[in-house]
Amino acid sequence: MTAYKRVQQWNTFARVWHLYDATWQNPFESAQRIMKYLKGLHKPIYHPLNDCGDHVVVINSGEIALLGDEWRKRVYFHHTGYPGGATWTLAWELHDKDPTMIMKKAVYNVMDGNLQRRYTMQRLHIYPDDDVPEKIKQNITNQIRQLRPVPKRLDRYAPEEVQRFPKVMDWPKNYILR
Amino acid sequence: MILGALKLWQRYTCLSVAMCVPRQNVHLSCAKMIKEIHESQEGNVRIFQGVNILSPREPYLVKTDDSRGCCTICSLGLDVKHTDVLILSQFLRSDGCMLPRRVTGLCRNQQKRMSKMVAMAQKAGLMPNIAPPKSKMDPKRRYKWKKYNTYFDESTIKDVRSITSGKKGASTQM
Amino acid sequence: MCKVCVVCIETMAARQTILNIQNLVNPSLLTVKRNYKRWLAPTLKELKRRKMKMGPEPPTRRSAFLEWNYHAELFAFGKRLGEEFRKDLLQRAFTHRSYIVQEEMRQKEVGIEDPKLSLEDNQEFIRRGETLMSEYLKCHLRVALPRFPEEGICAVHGYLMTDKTLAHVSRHLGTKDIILSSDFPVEEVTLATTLKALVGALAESSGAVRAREFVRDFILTQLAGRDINEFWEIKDPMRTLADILKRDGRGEPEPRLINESGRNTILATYQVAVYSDKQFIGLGYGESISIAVEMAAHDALKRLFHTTENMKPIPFTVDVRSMSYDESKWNTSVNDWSSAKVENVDC
Repeated sequence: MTAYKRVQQWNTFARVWHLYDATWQNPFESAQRIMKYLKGLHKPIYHPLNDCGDHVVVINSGEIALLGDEWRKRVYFHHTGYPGGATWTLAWELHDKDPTMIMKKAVYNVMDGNLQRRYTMQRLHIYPDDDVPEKIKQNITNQIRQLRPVPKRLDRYAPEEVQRFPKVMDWPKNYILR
Repeated sequence: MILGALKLWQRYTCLSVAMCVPRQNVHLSCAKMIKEIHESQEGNVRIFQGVNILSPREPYLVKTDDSRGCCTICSLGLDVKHTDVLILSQFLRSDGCMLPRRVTGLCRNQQKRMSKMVAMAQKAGLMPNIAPPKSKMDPKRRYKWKKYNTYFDESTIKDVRSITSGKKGASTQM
Repeated sequence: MCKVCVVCIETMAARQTILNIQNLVNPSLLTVKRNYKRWLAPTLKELKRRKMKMGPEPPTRRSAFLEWNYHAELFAFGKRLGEEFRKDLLQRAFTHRSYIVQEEMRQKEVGIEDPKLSLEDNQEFIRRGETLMSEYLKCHLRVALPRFPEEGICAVHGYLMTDKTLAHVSRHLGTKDIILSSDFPVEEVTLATTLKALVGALAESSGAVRAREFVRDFILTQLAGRDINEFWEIKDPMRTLADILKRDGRGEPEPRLINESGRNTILATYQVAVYSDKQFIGLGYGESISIAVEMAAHDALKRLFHTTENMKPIPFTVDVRSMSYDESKWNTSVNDWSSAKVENVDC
């Protein structure tokens, strides 16, 4: 093997580190996309038998958003194995306990249940906020696009911006505001 | 406050000029006032007059071609989402209540859509500064599941016309 | 001793089957024996054991077989390749000096005082074939890679002329059994020299053009699918690149890190591009920055020499008559290579 072939191989199978900001993102839709990067499905060299998956660092997993009333309708089931050991935990309760767990379970459940799943999960790094260890941060070189735009709160706009925004409605002349 | 100021103004206009009420109690340039007191001196006569002030929204109002009598949202063809708080907040009072239809000038359908979307935005905590004074301003301090981010699907809002159009259509055909 | 035993058992087994067949043929003697052949497995096991004990069979010359017909093989060899060899020349090409010496020694041992063999060895053909092959290969490479430095041409030529390459071609042409040589099994050197002798013999029988076509079709094609640059190792590519750019009147090569991933992992990868006067000239990658810089310099050189991976492939079907055999016309050496010098040689 020549030096050129060696580095070509090295570069082809290099693991890229992606960053994903989960702020205001649906974890179950995001999991679909993150899974593709973890398994290497986005690469032209993908094959189930070749180990070409990338690393994904998910930040702000505490800031995920669920649709409608899912926070109190989605239930996570666990059974200890002993009689009467079944527990049902609501999504918001689980999120109270561990803000990374919903994201982790979403990615875990979206993958096929084969022997590779545990190893693929090892390449997923989830952090509840944007406080990522420096050693991990230095590895990151790519960012995955967010699925939905992050909404901006009204009090985060500058007052002039709110005032100058085009208005679709004006009060009647004699209307007294409250 | 505004009512109080107006009452004061009425009293001012009725009473003689030589009233010696301290001026500081009268708010002259409040944004919510529809009239302003102007003071002028002509010889011996001191004149106080109330002038209609322009709405602060006046210069930013979008011109719509409502020849067919559509409401603004319909004629502009806007696809408003519940995250468009800059639009939704225009239909609100300062405590976060939806303004009535005769004030907003929207059609029945859009009025319903807007009020639903205002509710969505408020549940999602996107307009924390337009709320009753006693409310928790920061959505993070809310109770249990309410403190977490939630988004909504606008397609779940039912169309008013679709419910009534069947009957109306039938009656017109008859 | 062992061998005898094996033979005994085999004959016994054979005899038994014959008896059985006789029984079948003669219906009056037919006895229905449908029991298990209890003797079969132990016998086979024993045979296997003895075979293993004796070790692998020594290789035997194909010519030691009864039906071996040397002249038929020679005739078929030429026909297989589609070449018209003169029969005596072909036989001479396959006869090595060592074979003649061996034969003479054998005859002396038998008692012949003055052994006379009507054989000639292939020394002359080897010399001639080698010269023809070497000249043609260099010429073809220079025509196909006009921007490639002479050092590189020599390196590729050196690879094609190694005993290993030639022996590989020779073996797959089927010379192994026809070679008359003292060494058995035939060594690489013998195979390689036989091929050279064949080229010489072909030049003698069908002319030099035909011989060059033979070299083009069987030896040059060994380059198919190979990277030309892997035969020639440039010692200090960055220095070489800087020298070339200086001769071209361009700025110093400037490596820049353009991509990296996994800096703190053992699978770290870096991509470095080389720029000159803010112009991109080459891209390299590697497991460390220094390796990536070196590979980027290599890549820049490849782009200058037009020997990148997506280069125009070396033509294997070009007409050999159209090529001019000018020995003096060498490619530019890498030490005074510049873009201006190779401008007009571009094809």
